[in-house]
Amino acid sequence: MSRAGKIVVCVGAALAAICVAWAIYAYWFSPTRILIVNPLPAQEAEIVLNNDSRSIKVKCQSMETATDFDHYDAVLMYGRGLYLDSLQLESLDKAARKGIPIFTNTLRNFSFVVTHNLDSLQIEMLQLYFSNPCRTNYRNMLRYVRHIATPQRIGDQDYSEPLAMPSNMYYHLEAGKYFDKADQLTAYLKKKGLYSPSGRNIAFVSGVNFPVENNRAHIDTLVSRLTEEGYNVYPLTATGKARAKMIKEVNPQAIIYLPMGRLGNDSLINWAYDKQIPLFMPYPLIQSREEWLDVNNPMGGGTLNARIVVPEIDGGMTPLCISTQDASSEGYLLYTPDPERMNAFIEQFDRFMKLRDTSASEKRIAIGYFKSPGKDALLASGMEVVPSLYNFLKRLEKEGYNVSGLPLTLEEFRQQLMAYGSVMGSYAPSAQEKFMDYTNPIWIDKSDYERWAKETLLPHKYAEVEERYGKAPGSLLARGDSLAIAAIRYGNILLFPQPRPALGNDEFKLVHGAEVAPPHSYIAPYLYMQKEFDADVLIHFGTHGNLEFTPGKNAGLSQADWAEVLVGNRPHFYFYTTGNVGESIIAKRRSHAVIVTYLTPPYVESGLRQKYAVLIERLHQAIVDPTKNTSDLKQEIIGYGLHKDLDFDSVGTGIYSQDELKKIDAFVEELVNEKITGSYYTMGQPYSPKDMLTTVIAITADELAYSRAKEEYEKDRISKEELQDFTFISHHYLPEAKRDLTKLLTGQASCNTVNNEKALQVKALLTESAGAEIDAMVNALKGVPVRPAPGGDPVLNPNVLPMGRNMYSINAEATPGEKAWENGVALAEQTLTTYREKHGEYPKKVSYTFWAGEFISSQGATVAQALRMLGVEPIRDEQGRVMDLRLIPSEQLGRPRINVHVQVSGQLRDIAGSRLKMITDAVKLASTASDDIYPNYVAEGSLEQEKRMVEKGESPKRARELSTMRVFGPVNSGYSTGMLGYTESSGEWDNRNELAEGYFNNMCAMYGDEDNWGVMNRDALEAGVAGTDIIIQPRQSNTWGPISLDHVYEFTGALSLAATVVSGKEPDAVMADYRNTYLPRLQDTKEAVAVETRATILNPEFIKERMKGGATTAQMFGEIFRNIFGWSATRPGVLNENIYDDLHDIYVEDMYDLGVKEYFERVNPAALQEMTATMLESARKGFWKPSDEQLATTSKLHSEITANHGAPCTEFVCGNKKLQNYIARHLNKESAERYNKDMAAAVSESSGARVLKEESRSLLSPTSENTASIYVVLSVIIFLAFLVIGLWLKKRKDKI
Amino acid sequence: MTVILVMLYVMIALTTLVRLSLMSIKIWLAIVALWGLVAMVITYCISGLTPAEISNLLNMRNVVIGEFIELLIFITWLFSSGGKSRILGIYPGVMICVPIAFLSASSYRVFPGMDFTVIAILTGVSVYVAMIGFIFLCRYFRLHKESLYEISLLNVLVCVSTFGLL
Repeated sequence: MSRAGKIVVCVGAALAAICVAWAIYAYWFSPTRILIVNPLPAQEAEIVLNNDSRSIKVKCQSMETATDFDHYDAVLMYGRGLYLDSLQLESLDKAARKGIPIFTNTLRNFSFVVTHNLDSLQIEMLQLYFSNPCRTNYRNMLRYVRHIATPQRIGDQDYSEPLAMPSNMYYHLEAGKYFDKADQLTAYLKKKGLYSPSGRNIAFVSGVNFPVENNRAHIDTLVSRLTEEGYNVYPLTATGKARAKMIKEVNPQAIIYLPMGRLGNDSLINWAYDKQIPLFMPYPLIQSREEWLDVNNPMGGGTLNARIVVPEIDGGMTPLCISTQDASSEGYLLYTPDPERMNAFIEQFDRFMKLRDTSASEKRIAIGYFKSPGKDALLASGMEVVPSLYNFLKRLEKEGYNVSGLPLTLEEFRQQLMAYGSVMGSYAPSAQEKFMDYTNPIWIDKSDYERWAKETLLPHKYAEVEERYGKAPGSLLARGDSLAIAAIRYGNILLFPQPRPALGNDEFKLVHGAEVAPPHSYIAPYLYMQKEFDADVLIHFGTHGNLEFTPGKNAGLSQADWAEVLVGNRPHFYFYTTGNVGESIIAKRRSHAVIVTYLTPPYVESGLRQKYAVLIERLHQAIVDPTKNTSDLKQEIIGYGLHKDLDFDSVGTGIYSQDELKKIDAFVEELVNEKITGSYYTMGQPYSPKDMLTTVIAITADELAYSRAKEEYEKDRISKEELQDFTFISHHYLPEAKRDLTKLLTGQASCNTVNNEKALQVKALLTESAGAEIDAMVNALKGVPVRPAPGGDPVLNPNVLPMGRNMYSINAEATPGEKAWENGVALAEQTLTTYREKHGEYPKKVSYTFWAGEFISSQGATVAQALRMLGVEPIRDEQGRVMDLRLIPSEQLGRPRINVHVQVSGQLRDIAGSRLKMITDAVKLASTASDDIYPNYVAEGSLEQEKRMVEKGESPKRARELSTMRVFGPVNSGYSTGMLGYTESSGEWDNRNELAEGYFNNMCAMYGDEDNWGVMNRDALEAGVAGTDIIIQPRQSNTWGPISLDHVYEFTGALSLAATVVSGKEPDAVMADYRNTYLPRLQDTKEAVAVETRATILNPEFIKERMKGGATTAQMFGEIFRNIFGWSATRPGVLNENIYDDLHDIYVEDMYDLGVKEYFERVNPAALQEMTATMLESARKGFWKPSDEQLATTSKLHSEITANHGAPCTEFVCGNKKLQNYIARHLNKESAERYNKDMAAAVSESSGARVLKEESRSLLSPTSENTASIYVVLSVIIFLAFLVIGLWLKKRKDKI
Repeated sequence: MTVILVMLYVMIALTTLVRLSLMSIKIWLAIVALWGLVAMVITYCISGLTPAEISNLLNMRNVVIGEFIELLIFITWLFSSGGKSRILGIYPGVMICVPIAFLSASSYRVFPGMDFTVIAILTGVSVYVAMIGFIFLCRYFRLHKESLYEISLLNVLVCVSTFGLL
C-alpha cells in the first residue's frame, strides 16, 4: 500500500474510532438534557439549583423562546398560561416522533396540554413531583426524568418517590414545618415565643402552592417584620374552599394577600367585609428592579391584571410592589424584597390597623381640597364642596373628633376657606403678598423644609426640584428663608388646598420626556402634613386633584414617584364621584387611595317638553300625514332655530322634506328627553323629593319603556326597525313609562300595576346613598374597610349604588367583551353607512379618542370599533381573555379595510396598555392583508405614512417601522395634553395654527409597541393625523356633554384642528353614544352640542335649577363658557353661530329675568367675571362678532363685578394682559381707569400653559435636496443622452 | 446647490467610467460586478440612516477633496510611463461610491413600501447594468486617454467651483 493510502486508512480508522467513542459516550455516558418550558422564574431557580447530579443538565426557557425541542432528551412544560405557535408545535411533534418524552404540568384544566411518550403511571408520577414542590421532590423529579428518558445511561438513575406536601397548609419561617390547623400554628408560635396574646391575627395568603421552601425572601421578610410589630402572622397557602375555610379558622383582624387573581369568591369577600376585616394586597413583581423602576416600562398585561386589577374587585388596599426578581450570582432569578417598599407597606398597614386603637379625639386628619387660583370656588366634579366639607366636619365633631374652632355657620366657614385656604397663581405677586401679610398662613422655615425633603425624597428627585425652581423656599409664597402654605387648622383637622403642580413662565415650555418636578410650594404642604402635623390619615376631597397625575410609573410606584412619596405612608382616602371611574383608578394605583364614592348631581327635567310640545305634535302629524306638512311648520321650525343645528335651509317659504322632518323630529325628541343634571350634590343632604323623583325616573324609565316595546315586538305589534328606533320608542313608550313611574314613586300606583320593582329599589338606594359616603369615610377613619363596587353613571349602571364604596375597573385583557364587540361592530358599521350616505364613498381614515372611563363602562367597545374598522376580530381563550387576533377575510368583511388613528388619554394608556399594542398588531395584520377584493386603506395608509416619514427625514427603516404606528397620546408617565391650559391662555397665542403646533408637540408620544412605547415623534403624529375623514369621540355618561366637560374639546377639538391644519380639510366629528344601553348610536358632534346647549346653558329651567346651588355650581357656568371658547378656538363649526349672542342675552342682559347677576354676586362673583371675560376674549379673537352695544354692556358688567369684588385672579382674566386692555378700551374713561387699577393691584406677568419643547433635529439641506432625487435621475439621463449624442457626432465627424 | 451636487456626482461617475473603459474587459467587468455588490450592500445599510446622517457621511467638502485627489491620480497616470504607469494604472477609481450611495439613498423614495432587500438587489443590479452599458458606450465611441484627460479637466473645474461655493 502506498504512503498516501496508509495515511488515508489511518485517518479513516481514527475517525471511525472517534465516532464509535462518541456513540458509546452519547448512548451510555452523556448527561440527560432536560428542557423545562414556561416555568415561573422562581420555580426555575428552585429546580436548577436543586439539581445535584452532574449527569443531568437542565435548561429553562420561556414559552416565547423555546425551540428545537428535539435537541433534548425530555421536555417538561408548565401549563399555566402556556401557548405555543405552529412552528413550536411542529418542533414538538418532531421531538415526539423521536421518542422524546414530553410532559405538560396541568394543575388545572388548561386549554393547552401536550404529552407524548409517557404512560399513565409516569404522567401521574411527574404530576405528583410538580404538585408537591419542595427541594427533595425537584431533585428526585430530575432523576426520575433521567430514568424514564434515558434509562440506558449509566449513573444517577435512582430516585425517591414524590414526597407528599399538603396542598393546603399553614406554614411559617422554618422550612419543613407545615400545619393543617390554625391551632397547631398557634401552638407552634407560642412555643417559639412568636405569639403575642394582645396582638392581632393576620391571615397571610401567599401565592398558590409556592413558594414553600426557598426563594421566598419577600414572604419571610413580611412575616418577620409583622411579627416584630406585634402581630400574629398565619401564613397559609390554599385554594378555593380550603382557602376560605383556613382564613376563617385564623379569625383574623386583617388579611394580607399577595395577589394572583381574586382572594376568593364573593361569599368570602362579603364575609370579610361583614366582619370588617380589611384586605391588604401588596405584591411581588416578576421583574428585575431596573425594569420595575423604569418609567418607560409600564406595568401591563397579565401582571397588571393579576396583581392589581383583579384584587381591586375585592377592594384590596395598598397596591405596593414589595419585591422584585433579580439575578443571583449564578444567574437565577430570586425574589428580592425592596427594603423601602417593605417599610412603606408595613407602615401603611400598621397605621391603618392603629386607626382602631386611636381615639377619635386624638386622631389627626389632613384634608386636601381643590381650588382654582384666586377667588374662584372650591372644585369637585358634581359636588358643592364647601357645604359638603362643612357637613363632613360637623359629622366628625359629632363623632368625637377634635374640630375645635370650626365656625358655627356655613357662611363663616366659607369665608375662612376663601380667605385663608386659597391657591395662588404665579402671575399674581401682589395677591401673594397680601395673602402672606394678612391671612396668617403656616410658615415653614427653609431648614425644616430641607430636612423633611432630605428624609422623604430621594436626593436626585429633590435635585430636580432645585434645578427647576431654584433653592428653597422658591418663588411662590416665599419670603426670606421661609415658605408660606395656605392651610386652616381646626383642632386636629388640617385643611389645605392642593397648590399648583407646576409654575408657568413666559415661554410656557417644558422639556418633553423629562419628569417634571413639582415646585417647593407644592411639596411643602404634603411634607408638613407628614412631618409636622403628623397626620394619621390623608383625605382628598372630591374629584379631582392632580397629585395622582404627577409623572411617574402607571402602577407599582416607588420612592422615586411624586404621588407616592408626597402622600407618604398614611392611609389615604379619596372622596370621588361615581361618575368618573376612569380617573379614580389612577388615584387608587398611583397614590394608594381608597375611593369613597359620592353621588352625581340629581337628574332633573329640562322643561323642554313643554316648550316643544306643540311642535312635536305637529311634526308627528306631518310625518304621518304629508298633507299636514306646510310652510307654517317650516317657519315654526326656523323660528326655534332648529334648522341651524341641523344645517337645513333657512328659506321661509316651501316645506322640509319628509326625511328632514324625521331628522328634526328625532332631534327634538332627543332634546326633550335629554338627561340633564341639576345643582351640584351636597354630601349628607339627600336629594329633594322632586329631584329624587326625576332621578329615579331618569335611571329606570328607559328600561321600562324598552321592556314594554320588546313585549310588543314579541307579540308582532311593532317591527324590528321600530324597536331599534330611538325616536319611535321615545315617542310611543317613554312618556307613558315616565307617567307610570311617577305614579309608583308618589304612591299613586303599586309595583304590580306598573310592573317595576326596580324603581323603588333605586329610590331606596339613592336615599341610602346621601350620607352613605360620609358614613363610609367615618368608618374608614376607624379602620373599617370600604366595600368595593363598580363605578360609573348610575343611569347606565344602577349597580353603582349605594355610594360610599371603593370603585374598581375591569379586566382589560378580556376586552372587548362579547357584548362590547357587538356594540363596537354595530357602531363601526353605522359610522361607515352614515359617512357613505353623506359623502358617497367610504372614509379612508377614522380617528378615535380613547378614554379610560368610557373604556371601562363600555367594556372596551371603543377598542372594538377600531378593530372592526381594520377588518380584524379578537380571538378569546377559555377564560374570555382576548389572546390573539384574526383577519376577517375581505369577502366576509364586505367592504374596504379602513385605516384608523387613535389618540388616548394617559389614564387609558395606564389601564389598558395591552389593548393599544393589540391595535398596533391589528394594523400590522391589516396592512399586510393580501387577496383583498376591496381596497385596503390600511395598507395604503401605512405606505403613505412611510413616505411622509421619509420625506420628513426619517431613515427608510425607521419610517417603515413607524408606518404602522397609529396610537398616540401625552408624554409617557404624564397625563396632560396641555391643550386646556394652552387654549385658555389665550393671550399667548394669536392664531389657531399655534394651537395645532401645541397639539403636535404634546400628543406625539407613541403607544404601539414595547420598543417605541412613549417615544415622542411629532412627524409620525402628523402623518397619522393627515387625511382623517372622521373623528369619533366616545360618550358613556349622562353626567357630562361636549360643552360641560372640557376634555371633549381638548381631545376632539384639538385633533380636529390638527387634522385640518395638516390636511387642509376639516374631518367630520361624531360622538359614539353608549348612554342608551339598548341602542348605542352615532351622533354628529354639532348636533350633540346643540342638544346640550339648548337643554342646559340656554335653557332657563336648567339655569334656575343650577342657581339653587352654591359657589361650585356657579363655577360650572364659567367652565361651560370656557369650553365654548375652546370649541371656538378648535372647531367653531360645532357651535351655533348665534351662541355668543344668546349667552349675552341670557347672562348679561338677563332676558329671562332670572336674577343672574344677583345670584353670581351672592355666591361666586369670580365665575361671572370669568364668563364675561370669556365672551370678551371671544370677541377679541374674532370668534364672536358683537355689536358695539353688546361689547359695551359686557365690558361694563365685567368691570362692575371687578370693582365690587376685586380682581378674580383666575388665570383666564388675570393672566391675559391683552384681554384686560381690550376690556378697558370698551369702557368709559372712568371705568377703564378703575378697572386697570383693580387689575394692576393683583397681577403681573402672564402665566403660561405648557407646550412641550420640540427637540430640534438638524435636518441638513440634502433632506430637501433629496426630494429632487427623481429629478436628479432624470437630469442625469438627459445629460448622458446629450453626451452620447455629442460623442457620436464627433466620431462621425472624425470618420468623415 | 442641488444642481452643483448633481453635476459633481455626474462628473465623478463619468470620469471613473471612462477610466474603467480604458482597462481590459475582464478587469472592468470584475470591478463593475464588485460595484454592483457594493451598491447592494450600501443600499441595505442606508435603510437605517436618516438623510441627515447620510449627508454627514457624504460630506461635500470631503467628497470634493477626495475626487480631486483621484483626478490627480488619473492625470498623473495619463502622463506617466513605465512602472509608475503600471502602478497607477491599477487604480480604478473609488469615488464612484459617492454617486452610488446617493442613488441608493434615493432608491427608497422611488420604491416605497417595497422590501428593503429587494430594493437593495434592484439597486445593485441597476448599477451593474448601467455601468456596463456606459462602459460599452465609451468603448463604442473609442474613448481614449485624451478623452479621459478632457473629462478630468472638466471635472477639476467642477470640483474647484463646488469647493469655492461651499
